[in-house]
Amino acid sequence: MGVEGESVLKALIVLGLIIVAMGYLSHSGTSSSGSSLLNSTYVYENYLEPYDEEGYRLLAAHLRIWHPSETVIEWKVYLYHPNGTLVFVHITEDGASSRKYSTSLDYSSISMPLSALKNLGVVEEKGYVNRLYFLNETEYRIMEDEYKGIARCRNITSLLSGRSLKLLRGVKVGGETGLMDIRPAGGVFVITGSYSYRPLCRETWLVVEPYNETHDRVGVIYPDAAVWGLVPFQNLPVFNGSDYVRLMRRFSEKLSWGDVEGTLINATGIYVNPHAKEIFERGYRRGSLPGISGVVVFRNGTVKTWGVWINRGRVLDS
Amino acid sequence: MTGLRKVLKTLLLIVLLVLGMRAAYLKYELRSAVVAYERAGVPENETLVAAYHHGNTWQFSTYIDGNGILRVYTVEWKPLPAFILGRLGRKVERAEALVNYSPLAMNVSLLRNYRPHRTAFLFKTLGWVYGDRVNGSYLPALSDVIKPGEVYYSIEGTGSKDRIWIKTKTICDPPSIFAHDYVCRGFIGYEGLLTIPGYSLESGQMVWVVKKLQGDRLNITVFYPGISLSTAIKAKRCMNETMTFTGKSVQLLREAIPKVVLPDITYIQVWVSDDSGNASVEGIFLLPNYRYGTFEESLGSDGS
Repeated sequence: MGVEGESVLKALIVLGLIIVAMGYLSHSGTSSSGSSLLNSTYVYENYLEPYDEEGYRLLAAHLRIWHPSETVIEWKVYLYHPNGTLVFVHITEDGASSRKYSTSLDYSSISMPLSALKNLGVVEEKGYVNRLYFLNETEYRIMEDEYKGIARCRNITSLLSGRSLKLLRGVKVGGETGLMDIRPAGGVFVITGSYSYRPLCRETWLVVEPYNETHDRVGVIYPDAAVWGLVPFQNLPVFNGSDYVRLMRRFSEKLSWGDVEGTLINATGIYVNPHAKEIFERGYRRGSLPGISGVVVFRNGTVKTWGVWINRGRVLDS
Repeated sequence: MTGLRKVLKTLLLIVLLVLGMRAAYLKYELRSAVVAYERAGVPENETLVAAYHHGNTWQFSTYIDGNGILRVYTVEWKPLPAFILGRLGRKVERAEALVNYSPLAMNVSLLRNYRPHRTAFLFKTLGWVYGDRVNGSYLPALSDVIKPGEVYYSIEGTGSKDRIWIKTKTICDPPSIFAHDYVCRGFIGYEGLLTIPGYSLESGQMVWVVKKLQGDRLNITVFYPGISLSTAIKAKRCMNETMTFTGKSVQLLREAIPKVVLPDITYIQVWVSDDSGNASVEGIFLLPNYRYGTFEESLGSDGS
């Protein structure tokens, strides 16, 4: 090997060492940033303080620690500004991203000063963590944890009895808690339970009530909190909620199961999975094996059910 | 050596040519309904009640008057067996007939009237039907077989896209290279009922079987194009509940299965329950690619 060959070899060794060192540094950098995310004060100071200065308040915070191949820590923070803005901030080891929603709802009563996030302290648990902190008045509480999911829901009958309504709808965002644009309220913070597929007891309900000639009152009702706002008059017929309570008792068996999309109540009747056919068709076109049922209890007491389920199977001679 | 190789090559070429010609001739033979019937090997004591042709397949359904046996003979041209073995695929299915099918008996000479088409269907009351017209428009609709106010015991319908069915079959898990055994989930098909090709769920045109109680007898009527066949059996003690048809189920049938699925269904079986309180339709259907579906739709006011 000549002098030229030796210098090439040296250069390769040095290059190799540099690559190893960079890998180590980047790995240790990730780890140190990851462990910092376990400290809520760090999260506040590095990602949320600018929002605090703008006057945003803390509505809820969702911390998730999971281990697909290495530990992943993520925060989903939900903020409210009294000017009618909801913001979703997604914080991971790679940085933060956000999305804004305009809302007609006043979340002031169930939001806290943003600095309250610091009080959550340092999470020291090992293993899988999935925790939703939902704030109310002066304290935060854990709405969802890895063992129970969201155990609480609000029964529909408590929202119907003795009320005049225009619309009542159970809402969810896929299978997770998040922000969603829902007419006519605009941005809505939707709590979606991991295990609750009961159409008549949900974590989040949207209600539209008559208010005056120019406006309607819109509300979002959680298991033990509610927020309200005014929206322009909705051209929807008014119905008496108590009439439907009787229908629900009569057809409780048909209305109890099979919730995929949610329940919708308007002046014509009670609909479980109101768009069941469209949902089925979308799944079928995609080539999956869809199966869904829909139930309609009309105001006059007539019940219509519908369901199609596709499975895998072949025919053999008996 | 070179000469021997040349001879071998020529021989191989001749063998391939002969095999190819034989396979092509077998396919050519299926252009004739009479030859296809001969290839099906139907015994002389069986009478033809339906014939169906689609692509490279022929099906002949026969009935033996003496013992009430329905049979379906299927002859099929498949490239590999035709080329290597030099023969057509042949399969025979057998079932005890639900009703006496003698009124549907046809003279085999009618097969001579066949004009080559990709799809063709022969039935006593229809003669030969060709191409897109094998679509079930000749079958009676549900509203044709029972009228509002009529009392009945049960209504069942079957429809097939491109096969003659006479048997109940088992629905099992799809084949898997990992599993030596498979699980079966249930049954599909009506044993002994001749289901002819073509149907329309939306217009309720299928092969309908209506059962009515008359004293201690159960009358069974099967509705075909332009003809209905009946039989009566002794009713079982448990058969005492009757229903009065309202007609609500006709609309339910129209909406029961999403339009996107309908063209794919190869066989369907429907149960109709239609009474003053409640009407419902439910059933099971087969789809290509090892899939099947079940459906249910009801309309009523008693919550049951």
